[in-house]
Amino acid sequence: MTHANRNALSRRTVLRGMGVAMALPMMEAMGQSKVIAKAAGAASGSNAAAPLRMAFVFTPNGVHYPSWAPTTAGADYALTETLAPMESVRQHVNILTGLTLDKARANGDGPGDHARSSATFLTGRQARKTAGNDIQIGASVDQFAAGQIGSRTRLPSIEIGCETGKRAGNCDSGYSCAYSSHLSWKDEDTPMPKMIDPSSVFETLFGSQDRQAALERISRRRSILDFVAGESRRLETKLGVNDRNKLDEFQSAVREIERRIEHARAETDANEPPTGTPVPAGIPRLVGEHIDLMYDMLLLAFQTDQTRIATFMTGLGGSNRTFHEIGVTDGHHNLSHHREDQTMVDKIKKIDRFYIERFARFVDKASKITEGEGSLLDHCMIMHGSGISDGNRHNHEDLPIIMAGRGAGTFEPGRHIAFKKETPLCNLYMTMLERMGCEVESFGDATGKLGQLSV
Amino acid sequence: MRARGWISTVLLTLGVPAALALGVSQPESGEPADPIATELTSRLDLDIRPLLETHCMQCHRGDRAKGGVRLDTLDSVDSIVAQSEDLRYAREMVSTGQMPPEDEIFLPTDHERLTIVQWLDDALAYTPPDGKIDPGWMTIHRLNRDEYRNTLRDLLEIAISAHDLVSSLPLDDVGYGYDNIADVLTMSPTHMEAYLDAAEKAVEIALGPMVEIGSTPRPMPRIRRQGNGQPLRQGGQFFSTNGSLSSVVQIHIAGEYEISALTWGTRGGDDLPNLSIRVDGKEVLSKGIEAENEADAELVAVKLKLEPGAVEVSAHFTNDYWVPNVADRNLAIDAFSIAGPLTEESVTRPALYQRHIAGREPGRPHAEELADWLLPRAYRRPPEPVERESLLGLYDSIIAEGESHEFALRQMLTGVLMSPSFLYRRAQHPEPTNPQLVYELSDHELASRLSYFLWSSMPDDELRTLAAEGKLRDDEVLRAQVARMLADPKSDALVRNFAGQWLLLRNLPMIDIDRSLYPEFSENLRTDMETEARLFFGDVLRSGRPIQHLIDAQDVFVNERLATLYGLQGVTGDDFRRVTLDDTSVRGGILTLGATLLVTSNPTRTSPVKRGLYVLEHILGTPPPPPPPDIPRLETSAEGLGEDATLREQLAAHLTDASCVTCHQRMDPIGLAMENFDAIGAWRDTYEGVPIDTFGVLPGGVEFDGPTGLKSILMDRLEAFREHLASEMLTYAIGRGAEPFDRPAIREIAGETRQSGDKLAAMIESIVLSGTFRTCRGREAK
Repeated sequence: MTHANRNALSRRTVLRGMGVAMALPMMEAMGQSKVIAKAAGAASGSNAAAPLRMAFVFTPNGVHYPSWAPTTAGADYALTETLAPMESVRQHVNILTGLTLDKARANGDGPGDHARSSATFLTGRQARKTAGNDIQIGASVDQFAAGQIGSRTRLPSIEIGCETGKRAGNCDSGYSCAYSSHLSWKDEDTPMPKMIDPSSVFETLFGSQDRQAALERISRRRSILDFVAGESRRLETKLGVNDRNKLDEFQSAVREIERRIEHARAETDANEPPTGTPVPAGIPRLVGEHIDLMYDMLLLAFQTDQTRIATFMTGLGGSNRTFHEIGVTDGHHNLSHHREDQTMVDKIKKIDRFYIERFARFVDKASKITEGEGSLLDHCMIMHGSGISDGNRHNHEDLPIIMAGRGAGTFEPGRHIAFKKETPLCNLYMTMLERMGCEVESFGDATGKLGQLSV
Repeated sequence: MRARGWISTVLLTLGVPAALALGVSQPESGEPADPIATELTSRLDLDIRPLLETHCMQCHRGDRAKGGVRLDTLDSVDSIVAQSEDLRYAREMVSTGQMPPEDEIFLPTDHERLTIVQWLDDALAYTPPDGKIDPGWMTIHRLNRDEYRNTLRDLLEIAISAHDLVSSLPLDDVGYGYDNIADVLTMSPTHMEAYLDAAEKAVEIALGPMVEIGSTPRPMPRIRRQGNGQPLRQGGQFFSTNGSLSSVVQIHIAGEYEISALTWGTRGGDDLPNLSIRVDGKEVLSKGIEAENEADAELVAVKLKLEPGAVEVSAHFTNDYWVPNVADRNLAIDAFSIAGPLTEESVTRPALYQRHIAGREPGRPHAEELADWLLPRAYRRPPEPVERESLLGLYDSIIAEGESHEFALRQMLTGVLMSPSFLYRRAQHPEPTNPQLVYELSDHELASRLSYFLWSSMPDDELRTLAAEGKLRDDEVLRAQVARMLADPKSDALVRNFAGQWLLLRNLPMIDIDRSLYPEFSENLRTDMETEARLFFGDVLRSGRPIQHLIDAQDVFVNERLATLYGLQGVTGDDFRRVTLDDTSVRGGILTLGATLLVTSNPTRTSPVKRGLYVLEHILGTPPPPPPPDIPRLETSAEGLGEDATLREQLAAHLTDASCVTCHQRMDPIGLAMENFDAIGAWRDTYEGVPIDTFGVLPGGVEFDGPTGLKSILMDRLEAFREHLASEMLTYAIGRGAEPFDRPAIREIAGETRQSGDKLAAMIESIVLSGTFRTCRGREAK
């Protein structure tokens, strides 16, 4: 790893000094500088309010539920065997039980719970069963928010993960691999690809370190994008409605890159990684190190206000990876069908705990980054969970959900909240979207908002 | 000129065969069996009817069946087709739990319900093979990673192996087992950034870096000084002891350069003060300096050829001499500079630059010339005038901003590489939402479809010329092109991308093997297995072998490591060679490839179930439904068996459990027949001390033993294999998942393949000549 001392070479420092007039609508430009001022204020410890962020962390294959779920509710609940690693951060998190993803159930579609568990996790919609010719799900909660408030940051959202999709064959029972490889969906048929390599995440967040190259690249790209936008408008007139929808993905990607270019010049040193931040060198060999490093990237993204919305897919729906560092050499998915065989249950509990340990480390780190009068974590809503409750049963009620952070003072962590059975998980999303400042009338199969998160 | 069946309906008289037990097929002479009908009927007889009798037929039997829905008449695909409306209704009722009624005594288990629904789904999707051919739709198709990389290679003449241009592109999602399905290939901002990066990099590689030719000296960057003395005005030093100026210079392009410095000195002793100029430590000039003061300073220069990369250039004072108050020899070195490349002739430019950039008068005519070369290739069709104007408009606007001619040309290239007309391929259907209207692809559209099928890349000059002359749609011309293209090394893409996905070779890197149990396993071996599989498939493709060879071959392709694993003698070294096996060998064919055996294993042991599933799914195209979630794991299901029960004994528990038996009686015997191959594909006679028993019985009472027996059973089911392979290859060829309506087309391709001696190349030819490949229809608005 190398250490970044980027102040001398920072792209955005350069851009501020560029003195090149780039067209930006006045209103938007003013709005941006206000946002940046707030973030900068938070970083320097002033009283200005820090922005609220939200992230969704997905773990595959559910958990061994009896070892995971606390048996008593309230503030003095006892941490369970699997949740024990949360002890040092329990004041920062709520354990949520009783939440359900009804649309991950078969509902007449037959097998495929793993594909559905990831596809439905953040969308709350029933995935159309297809191997690809007519994919249909729905915008995910992160993209719903990104569509409304994403333009406040250079990146509307980031999508990261630790496992690539399958390269061949079937993923799950007639569902396209797109369903099991993505959490985040821009619209009903466009998944947002996730970044697996921590060094690409770093590059996406902070760009190239070469001052001259960065400068030249931006001006080069503006004329290219103008040309490309013109080409695609012309092509559009020749297409039928289905293909136009497909080309629309292209056009909105062009617009998004243009927006990022314009946004880049409004940034300040607060949007740069702290001096001495290690630059990742690639994908670590051990799963745990990989997950930790991706959590670090997520923290950096929030800390530097590059984005306020993130999804993190620690493993694919139905992941069958092994965990050599904790002595588990059988595949996760195979083990999850343990039928209460003690040897296998023990291994599953090890894996569950392993994921919890990684999350606890992240929560702890986020709670130690000072921001305003509190911590970065205080200005976050970080949901951690799975779209399946018990991997052995493939059930989608009683999901294992943890919510970390104070949501900028709107959540009261430190408790186990047991919701009424069959409460839609989407009710939580409604609540989070509202906190983020989104206009939301309905989402997925939500029946309302969750009331008990604040006391 | 085109006398193929796809214009009109193809009529084949085809009697639906009587229910055949799995594993038995009609002889190859006479009308071929309909393998899908056979499969459906066999499942009906063995699995479904018993369930229907137990749970449904009390009410749904005979003339007085409730709701008029009779299930006792189901006996063949004909009856399925005749009753499809009732069955659709039944499927809804059973899947949603409304039937059987709740007060029924014998309610089916969830798994039984699933078994019935799965069969009903397959039965309802059944399309008789003699129906009208429907070519289906063509969706606008983003180039996937492989297609994009190969297209850049062929368009810009880049040696792709040397540059990883696609590393930042997200992996393409897989649908129907392949990553080239148009409906699944999407575009996101992440893609867009990656395409921009790649396009800029590709242009830089294809044209070489942009450098200014000339002899104007540039000061050396970041000069380091060694030795004592006074700094000078132009970055140099007056050395009073031996010392040097040194600098690391980035050379972007090979060419002739000039290194220079201004020097003067003070004399002392017998010699003149000596200047030595060195490149990467090697002296390129040594000179005594006569000038004695700055006003008369001597400009010392040396011309030399430099290669791209970081070069350390240094200037040294080497012969300091000092006798106090008597003699003092010193040297001043200042204005240490480099110029170049000095002339265009001295520079080594990439071929593309030499052909399309070098030696032209800068100006718009050159830009027009470049556009006329670039557009028809990049867009894979003649450009429209407005497209040409638009590209030249990009050139004009960059020139208007005061940029150089060459920069504007480079921007044109980058722009085209980012254009949707480059990144997507498509056909111009006149009424894209009219499913009734069949459109015949133009010559250029066909050229593109053909080259992306066989080469995963753009059409070459020959295809483009034939298309321009309007000849490509001729059957004979197409046949000749298929033969030519398969013989071209670029058809390796078909092996890599089609076989790599059909046979799951791409999943090989993700298979985790417990090294403590398999110490002989290595990453080299993993790579060898993939190579072997590709060589094998490529050989079947190019040597005119029949598809039967894929199931049972006489040769293997091995190097020393693989030969050792397989127990073959006399093969040494890393290089692969063909080894012809003797008649008694069990190796040969897909099933015994190390790759197949590994990709179907668990980290710690073999999985007979996965191997059985692999054969049913990837060879025969008849996968059983996935297991329900609450199924016991096999190791633990065998309650009552001792700790030391063999895998076979544990698996036998499947056959006593009603919810397992329907599927596992088909999978387990196949996998158990392969048990002599361990998890990494080595032969073994015993497992955990117990001799391995490979005897098996398939549903319908077919007995067989071991890999040889299994291969012979698969040979008996050649119809199913042929049709499945045709379906897989068609999916890959057209980038669309095969739908039930594709059945007649697939059946026709399989039939033609059979008539052509079952050659794999004949199957490819038949696909290319098919209506499904050469035409498309509209698709209703989604």
